[in-house]
Amino acid sequence: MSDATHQKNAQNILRELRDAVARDEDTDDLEDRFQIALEELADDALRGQLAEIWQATIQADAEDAFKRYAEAVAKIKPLADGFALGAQVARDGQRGLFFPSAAALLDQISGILEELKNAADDVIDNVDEVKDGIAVAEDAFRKGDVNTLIDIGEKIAKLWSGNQDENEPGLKDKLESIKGELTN
Amino acid sequence: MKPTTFMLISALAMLIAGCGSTPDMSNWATNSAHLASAVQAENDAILKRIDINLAELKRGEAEQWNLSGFDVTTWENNRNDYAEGADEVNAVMTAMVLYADALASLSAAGETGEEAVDSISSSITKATAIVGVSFPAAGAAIGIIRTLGDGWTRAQAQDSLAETMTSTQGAVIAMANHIEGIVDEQKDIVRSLTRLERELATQAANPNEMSWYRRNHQAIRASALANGADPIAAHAQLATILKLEERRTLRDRKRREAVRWRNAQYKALDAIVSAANAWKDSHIEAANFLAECGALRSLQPKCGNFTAANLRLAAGRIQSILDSQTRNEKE
Repeated sequence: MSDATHQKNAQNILRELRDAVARDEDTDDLEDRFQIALEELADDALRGQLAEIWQATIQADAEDAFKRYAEAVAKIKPLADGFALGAQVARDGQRGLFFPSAAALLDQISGILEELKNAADDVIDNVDEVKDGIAVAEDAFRKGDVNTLIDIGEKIAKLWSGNQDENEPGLKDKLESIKGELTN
Repeated sequence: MKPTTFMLISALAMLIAGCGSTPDMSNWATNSAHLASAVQAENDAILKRIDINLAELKRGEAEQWNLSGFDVTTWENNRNDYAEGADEVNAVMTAMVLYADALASLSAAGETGEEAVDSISSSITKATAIVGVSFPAAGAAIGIIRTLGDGWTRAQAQDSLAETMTSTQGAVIAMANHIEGIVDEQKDIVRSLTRLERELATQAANPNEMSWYRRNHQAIRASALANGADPIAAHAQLATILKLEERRTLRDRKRREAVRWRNAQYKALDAIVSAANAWKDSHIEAANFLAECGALRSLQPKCGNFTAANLRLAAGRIQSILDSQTRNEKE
């Protein structure tokens, strides 16, 4: 076959390829035929030109596909808000379940009651110590014994806050300030 | 107990006895997570393939292949647009999974009524013991709670599920439809990428030399192997032919591999569409069931819960209320 015949053949296949691309079809077989048709051409420059047309077709079609993908994504994007709202409604519904909520609340209440009872028991257990402390404090106050007063204050604070007095920054400062006032 | 209160509780016990089981939303939540993973994996696979081809395109440009029909900047823009779109899709998928998890959690919480009743009963007992007072009404309350708490919690959860799922139904349907639309465009992108990849393989093999091979290799082979041929020249000619054959084989393998990758993506994308539709249908089915037959609506004739077994169950519950009432009166 002459080179002119090969050229015509390649051009016909290229036309078929472009039509198939426009129809969004797979083009494997046509591409293989096109590659063979180009190889049969002896004219390197013409082969290059026909390849360039095919490449431009691929690129234009791809650009179009990427653009349509972006448009499709834009449609799905607002649904995130719908799902977030649905999740919120479901979580509110779960929090509103009466018996599980009541169980959690009552558990807290009975826990608080237990803590209160334990605290009350502690106070009752230590009531003598507190009374003794008050008597010593009265005596120290009469004598102006500031250090003993501070010491008693710290003990009371410790007893009241369940040995957590060192974590209450205000209390120590307050005691120091009283100490300052009394010694001046 | 006042007669009106008793009637009310009896009616509740009867309705609750008919309250059907809650659809297990944990499976749906798992399916939602799988769907999101599949969509994200596909986005990653496509993006990775774009990057591979972009790198090959740049290599070709550097090595001066015939790529005059392609423009690297255009493909870079395509790549960046796709990455941005994929991020947005993945964000929607994440919101969808959080919604599914919240539904599953609500559905599971609806089955914790018995556990809650045990906890309430224990808290009341503990509290009355701490306070140290006799509180006869607490015993009666615990009896009623024990009878109604389980079913009531389930019914309440079913109502909340129905409300949530009905209000989100539109988003679920739209999601499945949009996924199908996105997948259609992804298939076109995959097809374009495959064409690009095959063309790059063609150009990498040097089409001019491949053309020379096609037109001359048989004649050269025949001449090299002919009697009386110069052995040194014949050897050189055959070596050239073999080298070109090797390059040609590599090119054809790459072109076939691109088609295999594309077909695998088609399958994965089709599976995503099927999964999205099944996911949507399950949501619709559960939402419709709950809206029609969930909670205290379960005794409607079409729901099929107005049965002798349920009536017996209701009677048993009413009797247990009466028993606990009698016990408390004696105490």
